[in-house]
Amino acid sequence: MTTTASLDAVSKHYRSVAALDRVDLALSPGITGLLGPNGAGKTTMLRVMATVLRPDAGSVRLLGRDPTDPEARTEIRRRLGYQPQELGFPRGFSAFAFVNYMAVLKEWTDRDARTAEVRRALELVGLGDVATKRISRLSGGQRRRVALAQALLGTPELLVLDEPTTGLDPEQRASLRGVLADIAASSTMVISTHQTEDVAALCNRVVVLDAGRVHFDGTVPELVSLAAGKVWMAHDPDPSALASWRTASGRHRNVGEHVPTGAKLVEPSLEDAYLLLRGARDEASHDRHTTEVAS
Amino acid sequence: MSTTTARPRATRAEPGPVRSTIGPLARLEIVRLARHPVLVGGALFGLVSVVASYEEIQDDATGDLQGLPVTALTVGLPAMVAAHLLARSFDRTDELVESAPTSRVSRTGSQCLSAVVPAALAVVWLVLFAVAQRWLWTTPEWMYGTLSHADLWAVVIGNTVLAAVGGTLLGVAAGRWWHFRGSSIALLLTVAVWTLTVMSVFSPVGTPEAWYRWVRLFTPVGGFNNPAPDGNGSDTLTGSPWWYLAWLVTLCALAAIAALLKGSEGTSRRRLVRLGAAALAASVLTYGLAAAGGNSQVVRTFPDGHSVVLTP
Repeated sequence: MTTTASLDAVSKHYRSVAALDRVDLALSPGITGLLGPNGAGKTTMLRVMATVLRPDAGSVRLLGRDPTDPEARTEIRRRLGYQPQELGFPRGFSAFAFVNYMAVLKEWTDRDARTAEVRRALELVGLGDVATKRISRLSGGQRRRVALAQALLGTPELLVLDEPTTGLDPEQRASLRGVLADIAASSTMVISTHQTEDVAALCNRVVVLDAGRVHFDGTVPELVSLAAGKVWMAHDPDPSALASWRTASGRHRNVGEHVPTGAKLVEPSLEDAYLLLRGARDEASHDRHTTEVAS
Repeated sequence: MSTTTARPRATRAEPGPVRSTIGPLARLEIVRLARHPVLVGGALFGLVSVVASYEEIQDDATGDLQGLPVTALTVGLPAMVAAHLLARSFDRTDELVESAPTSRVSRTGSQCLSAVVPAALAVVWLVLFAVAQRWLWTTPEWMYGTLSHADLWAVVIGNTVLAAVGGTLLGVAAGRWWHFRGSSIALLLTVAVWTLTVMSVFSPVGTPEAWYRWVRLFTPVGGFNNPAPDGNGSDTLTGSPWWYLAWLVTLCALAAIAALLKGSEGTSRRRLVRLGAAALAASVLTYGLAAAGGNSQVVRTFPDGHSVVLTP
């Protein structure tokens, strides 16, 4: 399969903190979900892929081009859609006016074509009815969709979305999944999210980042399979489990390595697998720390 | 019963052949500046002030040239603040606009082009001034002292159109480089202090001649004509109005180049640095010619037409 974006030993430091630490990644058409705790380096990775941040070391190729070359970078940006995590909109803009402004920046110079494309993008994210409303009067979820609408202009070949579903209600999220799945049929899409259910529903590939390093890279079923035989339901919480919570049925769902005898195993979810992966890493780092202190 | 809403298909759309975005972007920036409440408020304030004090102006034969800087005050300064705020308005969206193919230089260029809005307002002001002077006011010839008609045009254009354009460009430049809270107030104060200091400190009376000649024009809004303190006569000040106008043009160019330099890279940066150096050299030269050329001394012209040379 063609590689549309690749990161080769990419590092990025903020002072002494490694946001990305020799990351290798190759992305192909389809949707890749980025999971990881806060501060794992997800946003930094997306910013590098959106050509707005230069790594300290390593090489990046996007859509077959080197983004350090100004002309190649412009060419990449012509085929790129980016939704940042935080977006402060300029004052006084309506949803239409803002997306229209962005469309001009994306070289939609023909007025009629631009207007049609802006309307289409706003319709795609379900904002057709409030297009003329000032952004300052829109809800948080609607504002995120305005940000998403500009990213979808022209249906880019590389789409970089930082937490696109945050603040959306379940209907909006379901609708958005449909839109993104349509686009992914012909694009490479990277989505950073804390919502494991979005990754499970949308992504054909999942990458788990932690402390700037890739800790898992595979398909969703592969990640889920890591938790096979490690999730069980019990009347009581298991203190040795990595995670345990009381479900609506009154029983406790336990996730951990050590399954008690006679426990009723259940089908793991992506969230269970993610928790296990995180827990294993935390334990490993704790053991390493203990060994270092002891020595 | 359930209903489904047809969703537009996510088909790949193309923006068409790549053309310069400066034109469409400049049109958007022009509309944004024309609608900016600071500029609209300033222009309306100027209009209301003139209409309210119309009779006073009509009775005061010395009022016309003195009244011209009102354009700088009610169009130039508001345009500067509005342009500064607009240039900074995308600060929090910077990462997003950076990811678009249109370069920062093109974005800044289109903001600079929005100076046509205050320039047009100043031209309207200029036309009103010309109409008023031709048909409404009766300004005696002696009021203009030894200034020729051509010199008068230079003064008028400098205090209206160039003040409006320069204010806008300075606002854009400061918006590109200053990213701190209250930067628009700091900009306003800087320009006000600069102008008022030069105007008040370097007066024809009590300032050493050399200082007066070489420094008094170092202000974005300059005058070449003052009413005598007792109202009985008009003082024509030193310097060349046309070279001063040329100097103002170089200041506008320097402001635009300073704005464009931010975020430029590669060939365009090298070109801008070369242009900036040329504009700076031209600025030094034209300022020297403005201060050294034209009238070499302050001359007072009396209502009966005779003139005397004053010091310095």
